[in-house]
Amino acid sequence: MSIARIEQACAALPDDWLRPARDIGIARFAANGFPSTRHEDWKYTDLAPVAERTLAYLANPPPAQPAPVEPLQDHGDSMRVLFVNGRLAPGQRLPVAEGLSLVALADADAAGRARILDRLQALRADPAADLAALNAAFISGGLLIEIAAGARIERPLEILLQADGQPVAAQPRLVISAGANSQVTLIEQYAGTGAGLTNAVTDLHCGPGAQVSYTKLQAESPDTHHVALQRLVLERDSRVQVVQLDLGARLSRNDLQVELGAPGAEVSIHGLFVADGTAHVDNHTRLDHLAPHTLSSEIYRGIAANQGRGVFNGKIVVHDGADGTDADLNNRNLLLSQRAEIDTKPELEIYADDVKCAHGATTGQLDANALFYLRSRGLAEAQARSMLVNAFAKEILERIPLPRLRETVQQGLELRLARDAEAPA
Amino acid sequence: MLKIDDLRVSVDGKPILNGLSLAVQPGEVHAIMGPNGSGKSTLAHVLAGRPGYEVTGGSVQYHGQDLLDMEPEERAWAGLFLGFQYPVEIPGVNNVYLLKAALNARRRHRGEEEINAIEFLKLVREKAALMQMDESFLNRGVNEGFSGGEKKRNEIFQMTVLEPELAVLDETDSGLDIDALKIVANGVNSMRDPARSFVLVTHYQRLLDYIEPDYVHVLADGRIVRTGDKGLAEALESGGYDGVLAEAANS
Repeated sequence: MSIARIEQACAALPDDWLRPARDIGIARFAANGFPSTRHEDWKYTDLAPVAERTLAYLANPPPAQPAPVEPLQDHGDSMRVLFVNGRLAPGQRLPVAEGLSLVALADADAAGRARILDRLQALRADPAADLAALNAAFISGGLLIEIAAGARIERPLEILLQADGQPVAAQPRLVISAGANSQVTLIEQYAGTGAGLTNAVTDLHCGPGAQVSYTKLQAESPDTHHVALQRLVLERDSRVQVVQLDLGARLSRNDLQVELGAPGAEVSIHGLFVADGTAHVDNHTRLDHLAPHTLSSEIYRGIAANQGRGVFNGKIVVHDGADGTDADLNNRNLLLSQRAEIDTKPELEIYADDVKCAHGATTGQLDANALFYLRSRGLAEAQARSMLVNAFAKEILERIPLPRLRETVQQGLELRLARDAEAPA
Repeated sequence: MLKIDDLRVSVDGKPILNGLSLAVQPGEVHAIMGPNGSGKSTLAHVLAGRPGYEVTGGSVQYHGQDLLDMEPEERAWAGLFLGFQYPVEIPGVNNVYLLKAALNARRRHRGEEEINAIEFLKLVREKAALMQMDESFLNRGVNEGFSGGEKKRNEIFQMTVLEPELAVLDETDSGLDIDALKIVANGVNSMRDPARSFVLVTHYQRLLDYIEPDYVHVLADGRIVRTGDKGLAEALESGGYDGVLAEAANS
């Protein structure tokens, strides 16, 4: 691994308080490098193309002034923050709301710095965290989002992470802290043009009793590579509803890790991934039940069309002492062509007594009986197929918190899969 | 309207229909009866175009067109409707949404304008009332969580909205209690029209107490062995299939 090149690229970054943190990231990444397919969690996803792009793109640090990006469709009454090429876009006025604090990482105050450093150091010994270390080496452009204890943020906060089409290695980082009994809706949206590279890290900490709706929509350009680590830590009686949509990019790998750290913590996850064309989409989730009476429910749907390849791995670990855990994982996948493939593996590790765990995974094709039924009613084959695919995705899409965003995503998916159906299989 | 001539059909290489012939004129109601395994459902499926059936001989003409050459949706556009013996549950596809899409698909292919939302809602409400279906059913997934009887009622409800010219009803009476059977029969009878025909595939005579057929055919070993009027169905009810089949073999 050409660490010299990474160090060189980092040296170009401003000399701020984050430099020691960046050095830690460089050191860790230098020691471990990119995840290898020899590691069980990475056996289906070869990051060689990502490594190649990273090294090539590091030679071009993102320009301080990115090119203007096409504004994403506005979905009504939300607050918006723009990232371009992985960094908080300069010259924007950050939204203001009572109880909400948005600060560039580099400008964080003492308390903010402590929080950021704490999250930087809390890295698991797994390869996804090595990618997070690489991200940490470029951490200056990130954002700290804090919701004050007891605050109820009415308007959803949309973080738009766009690429301007330049060959840069975007390393966005969001550090989010929802205070005790706060309430907030967060939407993280990735979009862009060109053959970009994104290595994203989101850290979300939920204080006692916090209620957070957190949606990630990955709709990057079809030539982009996207890897991401999301770490959620839930304290006592906090509740997070996650919607995870992995719809774009040529190669994407998403690691969602949730720590249910105190009694009463509850997470629900609704995920959808779509691999069409020749895309490779890999979703790994890991839920750690660390305390008694923690709840998780996870529903993942995968669609692979054409020569698309999907991977889903859902791991639930119920730790010693986490009695009264209730965990439910369900993954269903749909293959729309002979050459499409999805590999799925739910994994349960249970070290506690008195737990309720259920898991199931299936992969199949469109139901031939349903298809014939719809056609017998007069729906053309393409329309009938599209109706069944939409029905399959609907269970997840209807969880998107903004109705208009939901419509946009649904229509986009319909068009895409219709196009894919027309392409020779 | 429908002319089936010497139809021969196999499934997985096994012959099921062995030279079946049947002619249906506009306005007629034909009942096709027969013991299990006689090929009744195969006939219904082949008429609707279900994949998996191999036609090895004969022909089916519908309004002078080669029906077997048409896709299932083309048959629907041409006015054919199949009432399924086992209606499929399709969670996530709304009942009314499907009906509207189906109705409009047919209208488009006939060069007619799409139905407007108010007109459609009125039509759907009227037919739901006729079938004594609660309106909450309309916005559920297609047949999702419906009981057997509700599914059958939903089939006839769809038929009354889509107004086909030829309805093939595959064992629509099976699994219905008497009240539901009356509702279903009432739905069918409300549709009777000099220009509309029905083919009722059934195992039991009791459906014919409520829907009076013009012709009753007995199917055995993949061909029609006897044809008569309503009286034949009554003879089947009293003598069973064995008696009628033995008589047919001797004649």
